[in-house]
Amino acid sequence: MVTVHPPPGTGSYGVQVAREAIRRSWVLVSALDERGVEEARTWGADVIVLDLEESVHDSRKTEARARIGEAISALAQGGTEVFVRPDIELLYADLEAGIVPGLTGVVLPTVSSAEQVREADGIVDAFERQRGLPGVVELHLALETAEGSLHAMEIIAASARVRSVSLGRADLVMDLRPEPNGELHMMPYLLQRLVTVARAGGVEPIGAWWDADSRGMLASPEATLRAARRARRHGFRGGMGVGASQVDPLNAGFTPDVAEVARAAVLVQAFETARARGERWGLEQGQIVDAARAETARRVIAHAEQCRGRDERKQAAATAAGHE
Amino acid sequence: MDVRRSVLFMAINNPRFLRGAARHNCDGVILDLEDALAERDKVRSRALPRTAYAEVSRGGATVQIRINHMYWEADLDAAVWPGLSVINFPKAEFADEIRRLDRRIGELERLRGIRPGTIEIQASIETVRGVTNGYEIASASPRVRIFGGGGMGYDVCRDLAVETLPGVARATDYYGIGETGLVARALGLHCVNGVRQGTGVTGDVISGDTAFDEATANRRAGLYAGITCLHPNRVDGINRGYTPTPDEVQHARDVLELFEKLDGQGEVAGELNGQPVDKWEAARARKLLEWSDACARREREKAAARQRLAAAADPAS
Amino acid sequence: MAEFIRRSYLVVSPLDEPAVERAWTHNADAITLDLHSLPAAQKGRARARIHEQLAGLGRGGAEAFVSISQAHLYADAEVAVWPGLAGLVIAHPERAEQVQEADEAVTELEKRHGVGAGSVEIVLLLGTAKGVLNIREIVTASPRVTTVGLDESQLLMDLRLLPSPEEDPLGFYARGRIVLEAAGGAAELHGHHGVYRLGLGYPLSSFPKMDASADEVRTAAKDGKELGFNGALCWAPEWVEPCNVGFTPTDEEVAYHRSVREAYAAAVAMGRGAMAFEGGKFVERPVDELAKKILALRDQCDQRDAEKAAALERARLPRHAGIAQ
Repeated sequence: MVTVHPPPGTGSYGVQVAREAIRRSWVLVSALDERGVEEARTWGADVIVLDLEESVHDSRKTEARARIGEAISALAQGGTEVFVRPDIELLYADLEAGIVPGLTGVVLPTVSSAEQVREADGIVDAFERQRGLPGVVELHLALETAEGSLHAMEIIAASARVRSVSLGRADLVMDLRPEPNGELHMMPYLLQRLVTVARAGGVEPIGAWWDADSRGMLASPEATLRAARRARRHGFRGGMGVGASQVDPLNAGFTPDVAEVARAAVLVQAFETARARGERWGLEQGQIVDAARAETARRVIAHAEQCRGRDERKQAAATAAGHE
Repeated sequence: MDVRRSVLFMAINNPRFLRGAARHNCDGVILDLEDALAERDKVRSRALPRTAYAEVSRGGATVQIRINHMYWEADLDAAVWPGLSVINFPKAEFADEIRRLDRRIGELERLRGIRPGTIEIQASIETVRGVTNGYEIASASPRVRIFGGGGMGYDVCRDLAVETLPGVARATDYYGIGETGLVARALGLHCVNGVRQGTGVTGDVISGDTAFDEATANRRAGLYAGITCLHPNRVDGINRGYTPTPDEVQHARDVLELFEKLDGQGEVAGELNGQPVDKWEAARARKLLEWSDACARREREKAAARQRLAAAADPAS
Repeated sequence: MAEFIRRSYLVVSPLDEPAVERAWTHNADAITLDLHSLPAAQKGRARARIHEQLAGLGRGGAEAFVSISQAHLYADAEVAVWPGLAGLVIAHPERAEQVQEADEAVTELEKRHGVGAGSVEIVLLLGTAKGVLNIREIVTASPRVTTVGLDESQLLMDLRLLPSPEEDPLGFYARGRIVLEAAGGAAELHGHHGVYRLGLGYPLSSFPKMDASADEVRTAAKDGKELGFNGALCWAPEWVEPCNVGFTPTDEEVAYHRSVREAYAAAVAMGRGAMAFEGGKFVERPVDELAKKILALRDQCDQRDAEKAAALERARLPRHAGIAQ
C-alpha cells in the first residue's frame, strides 16, 4: 500500500523532521539503556537507532515500549536522526510505541518478503494518520535472511518509503563463518550484490566490510575504520555500530578524505580541459578520464561537501544544546 | 540431521572396490554410472546396482548413485532399488529435468516397494546454466534436499572452456558459489559448496594429509554437507575434520548454560572468556551439540553394522 | 566451435582521421569507430564520415563496428548500417525493449541500404546496475546480440564508487554475473557458446592506461581469458597485439592439452573411463572435452591470424610478425 506524503522535511503541527542525505554512522542503542540514551546525543552519530529487538529481552518489552517515545523525542533535538528497530514479529506493538514526532525512520530487521514490507508500511501509515504526523517516516530494510537477499528487488519495490538497505546481521542470521582466506563465507558476494541491487532499486546501500574476526558489530575502533573505508570503496554510504567508540571511525571511514577530494578535482580538471579542446576524453597520469569518470569525481567532491555540511549542522546543534 | 561427512566415490563396475567399501568407515558411498565408466561399460553396468547396495552398505554407509545426465531414464530403472538414499543427478540445468526425474522415481518407488519419498535427488551444479537456472532447479521438487557443486569452480570453468588453476579463485567461482549458496539457504537445502580449495574432487585425489584440513575448513565456515573422496585414505581425515572436538563440545555446553542463565534473568547478552554470548552464539552452540550428537550416533550405527558383519562371518565368535 | 574470433576491438574516434587511416595496420580482429563517446556537438560532423570510413577499415582483415548511443539511435544507425559493417556496439541498455527497438531499426536499415538481412550484429556494453541485473532479458532480446561487455567507468559511476586499484569492486558479483549469464543465459538463442564476453582483468579494465606496457596488457588479457572473457576493447593501438596474444591459447597450453587427449584416448583403448595423470590428477571425459575445446580455439585463432596476414600482404605491407609467444 503506497500513499502520497507531504514533501520531506515539512509537516503539520510545526513538527520539523530531519532528513539527511549523509548517514555514515548508525549506532544501535537499546531502548532499555537509560544512560546510553542520555549520552547518545553527545556521540556525534549521524543516526541513532533505538532498539526494541535484539537488545530487549521478551520479559522487558513492555518496559522498553513505555520508554521509547520519550527517548525518541529527546534525541531528535540534537542534530541526530532517530530510527527505531522493532521486532519484525511484534511490529504492531513496537510501532505503536515508536511512531512519534521526531522519528525519522524504521529499521526493519530480518526482512524476508515483500509482504512484510507492505505490512510495515501499512502500520506506519495508519499511526501517522491517526496521530496527525507528517508522512515522512522512512523504511530501512535489513536484508538479513537468505530469502531477503534472494528476493531483494521485489522487496525494495514493495514500499515507496524504502530509502536504504543493508545486510545487517546476515552473517549471524545465515551462519556465515570465516574461510581460510580471511573472509566470511559468501559475504563478499552478498555485499557486492547488495550494492548492485540497491542502486538498481534506487536506494542507498548501508554496511561496513568487517574482518571475519570482528564478529559483526563488536569491533575495535581500528577495525571499524578499516571496515568503513573498505565498504566505502565498494559503494556503501554508511555502516552500523553498537557503541560510542565506533562513531568517529564510521564517520571518518565513510567521508571522502582530503587526498581523494584533491584527486577528484584533478580528474574533473583533466576532463574539462580536454572537452574544451574538443576531445572525447582527458588523460590523467596516462589513464582515460571520460565523462562518466569525471562525473563520478564530481560526485565525490559534492559528497565531501555534504559531509562537511552535516558535520557543521551537528556541531551547531551540539553547541546550541550545550553539549560540547 | 543427516551425517554424510565422507562419501567414498567408486565406479560401480569395480568389484574389488565394492567389496572393500565396508572396510573404510565412510559415512556414505557414491556408486558411479557416469564419468568413471568407459562409455561401452555403461549399459551392462546397469545390472549392478540392485545387488551392489547391500554390499557397499554392510559397514553402515548410506548409498548414493550418480546416473548419467543423458541416459537418466534407463539409469533410473537400473538404480531405484531398496537400499538407495540419493540419486545424484549431474549437470542439472533445467527445472523440467528434475520434475521428470521426480515423477519417474515416484513410479519406481511404488513398483519396487520403497516408501514413497524416500529417495532424494542431489541436483549437482556443474555447468554455467546450472548456476543461472539455480533457483528453478532447486525448487522443482521436494526430493531435492542437496544442492550445489562440490567442485563447482573447476566444473564451471570447464564448461566455459577456461583453464582450471588450483588455488586460484575467480569471479565466476565467487558468483557460482554465491548464487547457489543463496538459493540453497533460502530453500533450506543442504549445500555441497565447500570452501574454495586449491584442489577439488579431481585435484589432488591421493593425499590423506589435506583431507583433514579441507574438512576442518568447511566445518569452520559453517558448511556440513561433506566431501566426496576418490581414495579411501582420505576418509578418516574427512570424518575427523567434520567432527567437533571434545573441547569444542564442552565450550558449546558452557555457552548454552550461560545463555540459559542469562535468559532466566531477563538478560540478552553476557560474556564468556572475553567472547560475547548472545542468542547467536547460543544458536551456534546448539547446532554444534546437535551435530556432535548426530556424528556420534552415526559412528554407533556404523560400528553396529560392522559388528553384525563380523558376527555373520564368524557365527561362532 | 566459436562463431568468430575477436580478441581485440581497436577503438578509434571517427574525428581522428590519421588514426582511422592507420587503424587497419594494427592487426586488430575488429575495429570500432567510436561515435558514442564524442561530445554531442561533434556527432554531426563525425556521422558524415562514418560511411566512407567503414570501407577502408577491413583492409587488414579486421571486422568493422560502430559504437552508437541509445539517445541517438536512429541518427547513428542511419550512417552506420552500410555494407562493410559487421555490427553496432550499443551503450548502456537496461531493458529488453531497448534492444528490440534497436533490432527493428537495424532491420529497416539493412533493407534500405542493401545490407544482408540479419547480418548486422549487436554488441552490448552494460553501464548500470539495472543493466547488470537485467542482463538475461537484455542479451536474449534479439538474435543479433552476439557479444556483451561492461562499460566500467559508467557502471562505477552508477554504483557511485571510486575504487582502489588493489581491490576489484566488481570481482565478487558483477564480473562473474556477466560471464555466466552471457555464456549460459543466452544458450538457447545462440547455440552452445552463448554470448561472447568482452573484458580484461582488473585493474586495467577500470583504470585504462593508454600507455600501459605490452606486458601489462597481455597479463590483463590473460586474466580476462581465465575469467571467461573472449576479447577486449583496445583503447590504444599498442593494446592490440598483447590482447591478441593474451586471448589465444599458448603453445604450452596446446602441448599440455594434446597430451591430455592422448592419455584419455589410451584410457578408452584400455576400456577404462579415467586415467591417472601428472600431478595427482585424473583424466576423464570432461577433462578431454575441455582439451578438445582449447585445441579447437587455438586452431581458429591460427586461422584468423592467417586470414589477417593474407589481407595485410595483399595490402602490400610486410607480413605481420604473427603472434609472439
